[in-house]
Amino acid sequence: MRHSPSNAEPTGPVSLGRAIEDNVRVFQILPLITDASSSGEVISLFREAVAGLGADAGFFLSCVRDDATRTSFRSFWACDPAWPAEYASQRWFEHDPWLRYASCDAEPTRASYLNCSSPEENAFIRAAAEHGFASALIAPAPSSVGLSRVGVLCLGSADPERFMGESYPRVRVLARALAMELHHSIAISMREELLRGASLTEADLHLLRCEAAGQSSKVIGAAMHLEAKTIDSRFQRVNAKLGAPDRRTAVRIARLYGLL
Amino acid sequence: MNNLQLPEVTPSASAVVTRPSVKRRIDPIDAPARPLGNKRLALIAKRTNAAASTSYRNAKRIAAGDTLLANHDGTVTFLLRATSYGLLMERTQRQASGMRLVQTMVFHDVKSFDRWCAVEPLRFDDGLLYCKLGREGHAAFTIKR
Repeated sequence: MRHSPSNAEPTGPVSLGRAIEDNVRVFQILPLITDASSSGEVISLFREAVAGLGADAGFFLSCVRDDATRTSFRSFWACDPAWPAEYASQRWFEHDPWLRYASCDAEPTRASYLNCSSPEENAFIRAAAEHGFASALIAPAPSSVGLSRVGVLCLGSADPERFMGESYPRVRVLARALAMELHHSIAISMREELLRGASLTEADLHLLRCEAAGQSSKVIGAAMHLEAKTIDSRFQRVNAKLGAPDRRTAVRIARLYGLL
Repeated sequence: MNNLQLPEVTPSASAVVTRPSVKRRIDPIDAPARPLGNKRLALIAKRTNAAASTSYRNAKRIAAGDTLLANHDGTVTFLLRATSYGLLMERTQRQASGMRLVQTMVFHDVKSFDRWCAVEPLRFDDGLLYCKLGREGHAAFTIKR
């Protein structure tokens, strides 16, 4: 990529041609993200895409609300290493206006168009600006499970005018596609991680499918020629594997992570 | 003779619907999770803390060549892996409230890794682990992949 962080919005036929070339490269990168075999490869492609979109920095955050007590954030970072460290230490995910926007809107937008609703959100914007997000493009990645799983791609630049030029409509479309690909990639890795960590068997998944179909222990037991109490105790083991307080939550988690 | 036909009696709509008790309820997937009672919340918190304190057990599950480091109570873990793209680091932060933040990043050179180390919050909380993290990170850069 030929993008330089200090460059302003490309002007003139040569610069415009280069910008379009970079955008074409981003378009080629998109399918590679889903096919990537490791998170290292995904981040490497992500970093290349960030540069191709004319941004200096980027991060992608996926938020999954597993149950009433548990929320998981997974993120990829291609930016100043100090920013993820500060994001974790300051617990910015609790006051992230960009994540809040992604939870209620699906349209990519400029960060400058968003209204901050609290002093903490204003502090977040100031902190982000110090780490290469003086201007930012926010691309939400909605999912089929609504608010239970939301992703947001944040592309940033030290140049306050970076996302104000004529290339914005093109970058917006590519950013949306990039956000969706990264969200999909994270969803796959989370699914694999859960399967590996919980050691769920096919019999466990069968039980969860029966529960998802609304069948009671009696009905499941009758079909399997087992006592209802046996089914109950099997469900207890499945709940423990998934860290769920009850079987309804276990089904919710299994569906959120694409196991059913 | 009375030819009047009696109206055919059909069961009302409510009578044919399966009783709710027969079918178990399912939580809507696209809505906020069902809130739990205080007793159950306390139980879940206890289990979460117990699981976090045994995070070293997870070290057995990591792939060969990976390094897993955890602080004393298991609330923060670091997974380091030398890859052809650079040093891959996965930082996981857990809290008793049930929040879990996983940050994945790749350091292409020692300089960027050192810059991250200089601001890592753990440097004040667990000095020993912080030193070990720095050593393992630098060692990973020497591994050719």
